[in-house]
Amino acid sequence: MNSLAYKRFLTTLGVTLLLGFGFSGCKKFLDQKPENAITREEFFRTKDDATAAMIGCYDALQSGAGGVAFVTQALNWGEVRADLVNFAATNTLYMQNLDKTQSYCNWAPFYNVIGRANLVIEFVPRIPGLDNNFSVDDSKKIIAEAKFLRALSYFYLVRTFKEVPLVLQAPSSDDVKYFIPKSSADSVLNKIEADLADADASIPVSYGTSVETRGRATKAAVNALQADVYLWRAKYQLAADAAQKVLANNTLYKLVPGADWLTIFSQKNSSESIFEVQFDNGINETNGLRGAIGTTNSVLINYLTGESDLMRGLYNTYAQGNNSWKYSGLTNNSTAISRTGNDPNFIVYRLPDIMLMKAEALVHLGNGEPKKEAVKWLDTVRTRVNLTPYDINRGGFLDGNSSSALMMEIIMKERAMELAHEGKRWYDLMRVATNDSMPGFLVDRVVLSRSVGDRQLIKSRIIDPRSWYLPIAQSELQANNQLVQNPFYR
Amino acid sequence: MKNFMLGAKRGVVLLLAVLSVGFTSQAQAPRVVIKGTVTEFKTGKPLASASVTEVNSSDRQVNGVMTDEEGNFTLRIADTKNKLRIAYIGYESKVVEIGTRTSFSIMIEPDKGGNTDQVIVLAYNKKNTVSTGFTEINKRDLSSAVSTIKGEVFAEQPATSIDQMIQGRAAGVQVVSSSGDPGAGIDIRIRGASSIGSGNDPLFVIDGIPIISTPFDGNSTQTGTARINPLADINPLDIERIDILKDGSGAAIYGSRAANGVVIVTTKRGRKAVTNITFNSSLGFQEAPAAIPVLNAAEYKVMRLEAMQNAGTLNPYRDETRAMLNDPAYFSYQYYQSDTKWNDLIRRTAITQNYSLSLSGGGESVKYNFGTSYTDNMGSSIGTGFQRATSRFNLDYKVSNRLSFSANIPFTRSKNQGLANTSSGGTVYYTSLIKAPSMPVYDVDLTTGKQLQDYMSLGGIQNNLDNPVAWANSVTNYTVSYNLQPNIAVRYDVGRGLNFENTTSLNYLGENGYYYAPAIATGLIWNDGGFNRVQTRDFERTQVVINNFLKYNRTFNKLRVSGLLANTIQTFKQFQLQEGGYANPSSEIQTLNGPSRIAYINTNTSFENSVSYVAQGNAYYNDKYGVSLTVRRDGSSKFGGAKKYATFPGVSGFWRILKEPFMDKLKFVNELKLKGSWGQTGNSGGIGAYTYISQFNAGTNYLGYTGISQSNAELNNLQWEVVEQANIGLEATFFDNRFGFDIDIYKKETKKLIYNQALPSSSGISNITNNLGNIKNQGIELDLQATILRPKTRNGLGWDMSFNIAHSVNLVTELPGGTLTFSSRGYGAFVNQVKQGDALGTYYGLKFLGVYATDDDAVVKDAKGNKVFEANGFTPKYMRINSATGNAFKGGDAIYQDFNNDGVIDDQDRILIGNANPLFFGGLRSNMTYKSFSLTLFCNFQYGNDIINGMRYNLEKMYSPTASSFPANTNQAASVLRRWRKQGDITDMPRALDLDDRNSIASSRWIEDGSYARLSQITFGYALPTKLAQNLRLKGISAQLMINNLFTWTNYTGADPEISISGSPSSIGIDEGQNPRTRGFTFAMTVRF
Repeated sequence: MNSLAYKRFLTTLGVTLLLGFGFSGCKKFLDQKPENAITREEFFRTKDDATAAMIGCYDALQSGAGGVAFVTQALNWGEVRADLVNFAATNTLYMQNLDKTQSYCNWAPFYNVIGRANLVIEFVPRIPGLDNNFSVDDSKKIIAEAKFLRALSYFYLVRTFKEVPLVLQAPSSDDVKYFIPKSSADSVLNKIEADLADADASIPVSYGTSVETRGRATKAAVNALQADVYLWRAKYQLAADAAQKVLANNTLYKLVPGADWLTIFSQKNSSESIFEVQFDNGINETNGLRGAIGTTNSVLINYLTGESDLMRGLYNTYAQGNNSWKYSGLTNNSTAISRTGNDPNFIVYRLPDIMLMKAEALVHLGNGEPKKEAVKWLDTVRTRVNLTPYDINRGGFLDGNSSSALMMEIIMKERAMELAHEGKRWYDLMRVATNDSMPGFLVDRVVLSRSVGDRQLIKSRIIDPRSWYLPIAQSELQANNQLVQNPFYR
Repeated sequence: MKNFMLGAKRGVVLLLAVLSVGFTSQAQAPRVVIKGTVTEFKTGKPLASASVTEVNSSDRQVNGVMTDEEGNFTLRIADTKNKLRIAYIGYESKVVEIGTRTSFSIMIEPDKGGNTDQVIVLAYNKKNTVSTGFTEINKRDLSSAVSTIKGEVFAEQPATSIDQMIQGRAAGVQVVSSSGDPGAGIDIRIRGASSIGSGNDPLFVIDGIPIISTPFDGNSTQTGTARINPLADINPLDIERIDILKDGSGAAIYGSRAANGVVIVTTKRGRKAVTNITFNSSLGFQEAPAAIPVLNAAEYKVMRLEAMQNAGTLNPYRDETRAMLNDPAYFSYQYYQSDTKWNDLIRRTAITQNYSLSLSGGGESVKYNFGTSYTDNMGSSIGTGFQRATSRFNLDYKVSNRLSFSANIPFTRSKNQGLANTSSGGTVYYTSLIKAPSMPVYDVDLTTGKQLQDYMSLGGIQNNLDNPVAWANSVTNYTVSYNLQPNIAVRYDVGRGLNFENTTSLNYLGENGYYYAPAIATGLIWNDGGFNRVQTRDFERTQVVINNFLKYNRTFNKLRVSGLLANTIQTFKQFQLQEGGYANPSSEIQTLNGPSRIAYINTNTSFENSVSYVAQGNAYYNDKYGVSLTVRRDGSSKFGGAKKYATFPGVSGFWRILKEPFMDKLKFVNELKLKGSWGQTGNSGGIGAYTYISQFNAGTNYLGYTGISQSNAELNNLQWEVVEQANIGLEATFFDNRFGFDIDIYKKETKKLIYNQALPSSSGISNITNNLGNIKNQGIELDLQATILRPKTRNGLGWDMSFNIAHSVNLVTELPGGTLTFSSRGYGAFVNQVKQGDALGTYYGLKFLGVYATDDDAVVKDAKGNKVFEANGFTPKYMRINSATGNAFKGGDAIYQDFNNDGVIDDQDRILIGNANPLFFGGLRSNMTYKSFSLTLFCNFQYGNDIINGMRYNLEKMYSPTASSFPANTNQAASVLRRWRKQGDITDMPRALDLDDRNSIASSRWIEDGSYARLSQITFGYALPTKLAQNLRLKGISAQLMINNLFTWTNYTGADPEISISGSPSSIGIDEGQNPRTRGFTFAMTVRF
């Protein structure tokens, strides 16, 4: 080959290699984007994105994680260990026979909500800078909703496990620390209070449709949760104040007439509803609440029979087959189910709950006016279902100087009759037993509700207040070496 | 893509540029053509593949050619003043003046042990080179660990797939097909499993181009449907040779794709000769797999009744009980009066056929090899089969002395018919073993017991257990694939040792899957939404690879250097479309036009791009020392940010001890070479195209609004899994090259294992893919060759043998957290885990010691052997399962070792009871020739591995979890006839027991030694002597009879000890009841025109 051709070749080659390398080095060639999903860079840019992300958080209340549904777990935790339901002796939660391998110990659905809420809280604030139709105030509203859901989830966790990992960072990348040790109950509760205070400042009072107003976080929902949290921490004045904020909005929140009491559950989103996790059979959103908590315990039946409570139970069998009457779709006093879709809502808060919470707070605020008002709220709940008032002036026997213990006894009974099977009872018993330093308030009631043969065993299992909290699931301990099992189960 | 198109345009411009250069030089082509023959001095034996080169006055090569099979050559020379140099490996090279002569008869003498440098430099003998995919290297110069399987080995074995060709032939390469079905998937492990989550399949390179070699790995909702194995698309008769790069330095040239080794396939190319036409046909029979004896109907009924009685569920009002009692008053009585041998009805003797035609030849400038073949393999299970049509056109075109092109255009269409798993969840083979023998194949009239026309498809007491005969005969399940792999290479000899090469290739692999299960198979009636179902799918994978090479090769006196610069651009697109529908109005309509309910439609597309730069340098000094350095830098769209690029280096060297003066006395040694290498390679097989990008998906709805939520987190730290490997080897041959061995010792360590780690649920997400942990494989491989008898004449007796064996130890050396636990694969819940300090593929479970003969034997005994009593002091304390309040063991129950002597058999008594990794494995080949006859034996073996005999678990557990849940009321193997039945029975087979799995939980009871040696092939061949063939106007005719899998020596009690090693390495070595490999014989005939 002559040297000219050689040089020509080298020149061509050089140019080619440059081109080739230039082409292949082109950054875009190695930056491929998925076609079947939205990337985070593309998401969190508009108002609609913020709403869609928030809707995704609510979805986590409907669905679940780790094979357990959020609402089923919440209902189990709040009800099965207490005295108003009846299970076969093979149910370990009912028998207080707990170990870390049971699915009852799975907290994944709650952290699933927390994780999605954390993403909203972390990434929504950047949107106002990218979308002119989405102001900083708009972003605060969305973030308030996320903080409510985060607070609600932590409140379930702290009441059920006491000390839990306080995860506040969004699970957005592999730079995030995922192996987090437990925080003290107080620091979790402090964070809940702080979140709720933030939410209270920005959250809407209502939304465009009434279903949204009952199905999304509102100011009343935030205040209701605040009342619940303060009551749990024995901050009674704050609890009463928070409850009052809800009660003050008597245009949006009204008690349903007693005759329609069952429609609160079967028709859903009633006028007294504050926050309900929504389900709709029509769009394939169903749940397992109907069969989750078995039949009614004689303790509750005795309450209702003793009071001749015709509205809230006596007409009914408290159950439809093995289904709890509040979730089976009963709309009237017959045993016929008029709502067939397996889609009851899970009611987190409704008005009578707030009334009784306020009454409970007031009882702890001293004799005289506070207790008088407590009786007033108690009677409001009772007279709605045509039961006799407790007020001494209305033929009852309570006044501003009645003993706190007696009043608590009556409030708890009223809560049982009104809110049974709504996932409240176990936490009610724990709260009173702890705050009023009388463990027997929980232990005796639970023991008495069990069959005679099981009572000794049940008592031995719950006599230690540390046993009121659940063990941390084995899978969780395996996956996170920072965790330490709860004291009772070590 | 736009950029890519732009790049392609530039490529075309380049091509034109190169072409124009080439044509210019063609104009100067010389006109003198010389011809000649090269023969051995004295014997006059023609020497094929001798190198004939034209060298100029400065001793530089101008032109070169190789002799054909008859020793002939034709060379177009540049200048008659130049000289011809003839070189042949093992012979003295010779230089001849050209002058005015145009015909040469050159004789060369065998090398007398002198300086062979020149020969080595110039001899280009295909048989002695090794392909690294990118380039070819003389075996003498090789310093890394490469196993080679040559074409002549294939010739003696009429194989229809490549796995049969590799298995047992290369030390350290474990090959297992996933079942005995034709066209089944293949698992190849080179030097052990080195990854947990990134796949362990080697890279396949055909004629320099990496191909798509693994089954489709997108998400599939159609798990039971027939799958395509792209490796089955290769026609073995097209293959010239296979080179397997085993170590890190050799594979480093493939960088990020080569962590599991590289298999390099070179196909046959045309040679300068008159046209050769070869026709090959074979016909074979495969026996039906041996049946596992199961209970007959009467035995089955007794066993079931015992299981119920022992569980306390014997109840004359339950259907499950009534079906086992011979009571004509029972309304379904007639359904349970048969004695069906289900397994016999789904097996058959299968016929396999293979036809292949090839044409090859060529002249001075064009050489071609065209092959086409058709294969039709029936499976020995009814409903299975494999059909394949292949064609390949390999063309080499020499435009000028400098410029040449080659094109390879293979196309394959395959159809794979598989047996879909029954809807009740098992393989048809497995279902046929557990289906109640008392039930009939065809429906019966309930009052008269008369057989009706249709299949009996109700599950009856077996709930949803489908009728396996109906399933095998009526379900349609196949996949058709189209595999097109064209590539074009341009080579340009720049001169001064510099070569440029561009290869552009496409690999298109399309699959159409179709599945139809009629109501007669599903056993469901018209008002069930899923009573019949149709599923179709289209998968498409397209890969484009463009390689640019610059190769350099110069010799400076005793120093020879070569180098390679390369740049590779690759794009890969994967597309899937899947549709499924239920409830066609009639079984006559089997398409998606009919169904009343579309169950799902989904599509998925992904792109993956990568760019690589490779630099390699080799230097050889005096044929005594050699060193090779390779660096590859890869960039991939699979990784994010700073982790997009990674560098994979490799280095190796050899020292030919033979060349040292002190070796001179040892005349019997023909070769002694020490080699060493080190290299790093990468693996990212376990992650999808966009894993690192945080993605959000719609579908998390609430209140009727569409919600969007995160589906995975952003992975800023994810990077390639890296395999670092060091290898030391010794090659030696003795006694006139009659004996030789290759020995390699290696240490292979996988670092930064990619694993989709489960996170604590408190994190809010379930998994994160990251790099963690190390795995180490250490081993030794030995290859031996011996020519025991060397034929003295053409018709003499010849016998040569080769043997290979490999030993390797696998160890998980580092795992943060110590243990990864996987969801259980069943079989009594063996703990599937990867644990630091264990090998991948270890099993944990209880230690099974036998069966309690009496209830009394199950009483807990203290250290002195005295009985232990309960707290009341007189009730004997029985062994219990799971907890102190668990069920008590009784006579007839399994005895498990209670390691902590607490009287409770629980997780704390689980120990390491098995290891799926063989201690060693390998193959032995013997080839004898006498006159026109040949006899080849091939045996492969494996020793020291354990298998969880899942089939035996399913066939001996004698347990139904509940009356209704699958697998209920199953039939069992005939071996359960020796089960414990009454107090005092002494046996190793526990009692039948429903509702309680205490006797079948994961234990050493199910673990067996999987060692085997298999006479996998005997071939008896005969070739008609050339003269006789010529009388028939043929170039040659030969016939072969091959018997495969004639004997298997094993203690394994299952159907086949060759167990798939696919899937998660934590759960390898489980016999899941795939169709076993069968014995068969094949008659093949080859005619050459």
